[in-house]
Amino acid sequence: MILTTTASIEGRPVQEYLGVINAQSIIGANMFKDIFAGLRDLIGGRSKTYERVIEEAKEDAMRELTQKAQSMGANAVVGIDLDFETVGASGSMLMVIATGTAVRI
Amino acid sequence: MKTFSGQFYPSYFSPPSEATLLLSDRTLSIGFHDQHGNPARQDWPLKEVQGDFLFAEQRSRFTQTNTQAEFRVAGREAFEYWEEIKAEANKSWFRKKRTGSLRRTVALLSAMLLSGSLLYFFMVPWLAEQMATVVSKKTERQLGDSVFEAMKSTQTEDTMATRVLNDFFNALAIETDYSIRITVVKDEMVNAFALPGGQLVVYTGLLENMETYPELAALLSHEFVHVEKRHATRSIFRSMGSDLFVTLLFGKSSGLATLVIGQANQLRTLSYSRSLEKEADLEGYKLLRERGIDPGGYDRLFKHLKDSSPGTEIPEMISSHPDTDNRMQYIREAARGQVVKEDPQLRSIFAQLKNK
Repeated sequence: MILTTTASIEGRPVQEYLGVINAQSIIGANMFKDIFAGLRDLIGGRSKTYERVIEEAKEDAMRELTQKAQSMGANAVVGIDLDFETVGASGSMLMVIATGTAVRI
Repeated sequence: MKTFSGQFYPSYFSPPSEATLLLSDRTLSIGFHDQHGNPARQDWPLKEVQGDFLFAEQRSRFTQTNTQAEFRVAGREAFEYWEEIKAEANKSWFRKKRTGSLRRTVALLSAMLLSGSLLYFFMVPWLAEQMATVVSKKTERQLGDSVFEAMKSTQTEDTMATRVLNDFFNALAIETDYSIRITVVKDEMVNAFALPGGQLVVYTGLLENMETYPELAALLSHEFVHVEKRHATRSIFRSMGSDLFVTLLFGKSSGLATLVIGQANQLRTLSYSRSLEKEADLEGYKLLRERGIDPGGYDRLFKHLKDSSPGTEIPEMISSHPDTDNRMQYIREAARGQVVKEDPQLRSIFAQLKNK
């Protein structure tokens, strides 16, 4: 299984296009992480707590994308695009959308 | 999360098919084509998976322990990654990198809640009290005077009653570093209050109801304790401290949480206010006791307060003052066995107020 952001895979021509797939994950940082991040904002520096939340959301979206591709019988996903967006009333939730094309190579 | 391509063996006897493998710390998924050539996927619970490395074949093997289905992939990489995942899963909960574990989250949250409430209930008030004690009497007086000046313009003073009340207070001969100045304001409100630094304000509405001098002595001693014990200054610092703390923690965003937290904070301020009122009652009563003044003054004073607002008793929890019946009760208890002696000087000063 190859996952890539490029449109084609070097030396492995696409044999069959199985369709565009996407997966999303929306994750709330939770109140306490917000507090820690708020303190970070106050004193400056990298906010590991928020970074971890983004990482987690990205992992979830990618895992789901891969599983969808597997269900379609794909053995690669090309042209993957990751979108990050905040949602929720105060923008405190993070949304990650992974889009890609499931193919057989 | 890692992906691999390899061979899938649905059962021991069936021929392998080309398949894909997704390996992550939460799932193991296999994408393959079934015997009819249709795409299919299997998700194996991590607990039911056994991983090993076949040295002779130089392939990593994953076996679903229930169905005996296998996935084999060339090279050591998949097996090594599998070992990593298992090592991470076997780590004690507090060393894990990811925050997926419920126990860990709960433990962290309760630790934070505990330290947060320790800070909120003990540290912040203590610091605020320390800061309040640093404030000089001069600053307190300036603060109180500026509030008084701002208020004065909208009120009419009863100069005669003001003079009598100041005389009365001086006759009580209470030792203090503050200069106590009493002002009587013409207003029907049955109320009185103390400003920081020594300004006491009494409304005529309250004086009119009074019949005996112990009532006035009770009122003035109560308000005096507010000044002497710096209640107003301490309250200001405490509420500023807890407001600051709450704002730091929860931000100033408007929302349901802020509303709830604000209300809780308010209740806490009220509870502090009630404890100060009780202190003022009891300490004020002590001043009366030292002078042999009838403690019934407190009783009748509370009765006036109660009569002035019939039917509007609010639950003690959301009130700034203790319940009037409670106040009567603890003063009565404190006053048990007190010797009362008549004070002709106070009586005659009080008479001036009534005969004006």
